[in-house]
Amino acid sequence: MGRILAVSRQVERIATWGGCISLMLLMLIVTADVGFRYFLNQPFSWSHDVITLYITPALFFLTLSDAHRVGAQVNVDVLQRALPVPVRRITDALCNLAAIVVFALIAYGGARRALDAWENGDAIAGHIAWLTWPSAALVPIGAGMLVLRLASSLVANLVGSDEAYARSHEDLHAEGAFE
Amino acid sequence: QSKVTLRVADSLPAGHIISETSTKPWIELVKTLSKDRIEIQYYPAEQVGKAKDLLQLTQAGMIDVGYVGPSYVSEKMPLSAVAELPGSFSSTCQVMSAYWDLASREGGYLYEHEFKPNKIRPLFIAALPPYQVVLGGSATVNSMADLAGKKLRASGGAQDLTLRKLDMVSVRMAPPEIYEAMSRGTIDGTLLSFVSVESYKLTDITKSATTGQNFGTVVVTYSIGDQKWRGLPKDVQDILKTAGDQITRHACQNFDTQEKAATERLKEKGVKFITFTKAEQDKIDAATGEVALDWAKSLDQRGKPGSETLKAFRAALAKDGQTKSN
Amino acid sequence: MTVAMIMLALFALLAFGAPVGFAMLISGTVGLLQIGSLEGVLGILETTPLTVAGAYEFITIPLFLLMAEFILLSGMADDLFRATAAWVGRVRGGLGMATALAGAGFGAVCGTSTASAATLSATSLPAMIKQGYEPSLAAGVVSISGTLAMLIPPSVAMVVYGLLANVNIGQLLIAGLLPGILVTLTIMVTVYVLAWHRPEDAPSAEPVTWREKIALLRVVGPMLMLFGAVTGIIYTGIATPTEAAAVGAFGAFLLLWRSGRMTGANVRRALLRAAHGSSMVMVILLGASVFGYFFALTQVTQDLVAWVATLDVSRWVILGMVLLGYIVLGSFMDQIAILVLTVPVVVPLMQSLGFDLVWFGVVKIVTAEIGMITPPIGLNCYVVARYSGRPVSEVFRGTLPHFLAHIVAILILVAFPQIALWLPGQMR
Ligand code: NA
Ligand code: NA
Repeated sequence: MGRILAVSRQVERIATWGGCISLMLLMLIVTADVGFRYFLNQPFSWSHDVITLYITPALFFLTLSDAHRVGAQVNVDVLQRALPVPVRRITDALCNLAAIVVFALIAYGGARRALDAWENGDAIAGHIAWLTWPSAALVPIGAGMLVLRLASSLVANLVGSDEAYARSHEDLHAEGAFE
Repeated sequence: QSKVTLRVADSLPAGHIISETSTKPWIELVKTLSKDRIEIQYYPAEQVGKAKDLLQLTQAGMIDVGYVGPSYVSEKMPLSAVAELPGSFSSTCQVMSAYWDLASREGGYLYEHEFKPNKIRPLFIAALPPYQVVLGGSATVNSMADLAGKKLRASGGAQDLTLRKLDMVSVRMAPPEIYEAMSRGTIDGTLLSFVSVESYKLTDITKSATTGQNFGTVVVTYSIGDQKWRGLPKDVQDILKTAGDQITRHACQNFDTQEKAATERLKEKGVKFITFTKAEQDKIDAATGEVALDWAKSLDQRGKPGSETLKAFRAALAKDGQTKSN
Repeated sequence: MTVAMIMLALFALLAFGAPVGFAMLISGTVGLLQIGSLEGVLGILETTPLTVAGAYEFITIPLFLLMAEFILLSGMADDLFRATAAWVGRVRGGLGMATALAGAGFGAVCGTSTASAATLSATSLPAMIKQGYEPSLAAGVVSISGTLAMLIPPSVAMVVYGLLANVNIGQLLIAGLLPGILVTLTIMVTVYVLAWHRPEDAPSAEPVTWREKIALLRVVGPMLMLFGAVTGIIYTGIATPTEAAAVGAFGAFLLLWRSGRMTGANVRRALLRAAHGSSMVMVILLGASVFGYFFALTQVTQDLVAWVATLDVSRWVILGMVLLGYIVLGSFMDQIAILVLTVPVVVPLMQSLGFDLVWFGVVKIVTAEIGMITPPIGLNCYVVARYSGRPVSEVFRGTLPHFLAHIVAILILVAFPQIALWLPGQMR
């Protein structure tokens, strides 16, 4: 069990760096594209397709699970904070379970779509015929990692002590808040 | 006789020329022909899905009739782009009739090779009038040579290839950004039909444009999922077939009339129309011809019947031309 | 009936602390299952995530977040407050006004009000308290000044509104500029009145020599240059507003390099935080889309708009009710949740009443600023309390005068729509 967790954490870490590198690439590609277009009259013909097909999906799906790990998701927890810890553990578990089901459906649908695109050799029309399966595959990878992350926190929530639960929830989750 | 309800979804904003010229009249016609037996629930403006998702949502049965634009799902419907190639026709009616011939009935080349495999069937189609080069104030263009190096917004695919062939620079951006980009010179202009020039409110910043050219177009279909279609009673299917035929035929003339009127209005506003010499026109025609061949060849290389599609489409264009002259 | 049940499920999930995006995604999926088949719902879940993530306009969000992270690491935000304090610190309530100015200045390169509040808490709050400011007054100014970042471009909240309401993002961002100045002035006037009323609560700062004042201006230069560059390349047409976000982030990257604080660890940290933030926004936009599809298919919005059209009241009454509703919602709900929950209903309504959607977006954001500082959920106040180690109740007490002043600012914006619409009009 511990070994599985360690391996999946390692996978999550690598994926997260993939997401971060995508963000850096996004900044550099768009800036360079603007520069090439303005100064040299030679915008990149590939940037729009590469960004929308691969880079922003990678940025989003590869960091999805890690963002959840650090508690970057925004929630409204007034009522939740007022509830006694044993009740909170139950409501938390239920919310977690519902999220697992939906993200599992997303992962399943995404995998089906990626497989289909791979089998047909789907590619978009244009100067360069970019393949669509690597783009589609990012969805099941990201949603799948999130399902694992949610499942492990569901288990931890169910088996841990009330004290440990309360301790893990006392931080204000303001990291990355964006309002 | 029980009522039939169809959920129809598209991505067009309120007042878009396609929804005014084709979609709404089609809804009315279906209502009239079926004597209100067919009820249409219309969800415009991406209310239930973005343009590129509507094919899949139709296949999955979340909606019954979806706005399926082949260029939004070029990976699933690569062959339909044949109707969007530059140079092959000069009126909306020509392209719409040819495409409708191939797509609407069993045995039609595009129906068999594109719609059937995707488990959908087109109920009616629309195409925008042939695209022109539309330029703002940042470019003074009098001849073919002046067009070289001009930055034009294009929507990818064949338009991208056409601009490259003619030594222009193709820029991608979302339609709502065209106005600002063109007025401030981020781009010199765009490829659009004149009716769209008006709907994007570009009239005041348009300084010059080509006319009578064909730098490509956009074809869209409203398609129904096979499963839903098979579940419909025969008489309802017949009503939908009749309505689709009528609307497609009627709307194409309407598009051409509106394009002509839009051209007149641009002329009154003082937009300068660029004319090309015979030699220049030959060069353009040669380039668009090459684009079509390149397009077909690159599909052939990926194991899709590009050349065959091109042949079938050209045959359909020729056949329609003949019927008209008879 | 379905709608009422699903809304109930949504609010239950939110109340139990489920993340906003998850709550909308879950309840929207359940709602769609009531309307369509499992295969149909799978169709939506299969397509929507990739389409939302692959929308080109979305790139502004990660890039705005990244720009702010680079600026924060460069330390220029601290210098900004020292500079404004040197210039206006001698005036009555001067350090408080300097905080508002620094909030506006930092807001011009940072797109999120919590990040801005955190920065001001670390710099201007200790300075004011050291100067003998009454702590709740000081904390109040910091909390409200942080909210300027969501009004003055760049603004992540504006982009989210633009994406949800389908309004031109470039015009929205520019529209926030003059109202941002108006709100900055409102905060400064409020501080002045407070200081005038109880001078002992806001003592003046030590005098600063002219030589020092001039020297401090030098640190403001680069940030002003960055803001000017981003706005400038939009105006001159070098880049579209979407692309300008990338150029801005790159400019901030260069400023970080110039500040000499660029290390591998720093850059990685900035990338990670911005990536986490954008991932969160994406989950929310995804949840909002799925929920929105469900909502559209039930035709509730059309029915509501049709119903309001039959009402025999002035559109201003309806606007007033909507804004009041926003202030009430804002007291206990997360701002982004409010946006995603209400935009699909409220925006078609406003449009049917003939209100300009760019202007409405600006007014909506200013009411959202109020939500950031009102109890029980006032994220900025929590941020300030946490960073400064002061009790939350004290911070909330200090924001009360600003709450009242903000209402006046909203009335001004409603009475004079041109404040928001003049600049975007110049672009047209
Ligand atoms: Na800002
Ligand atoms: Na609040």
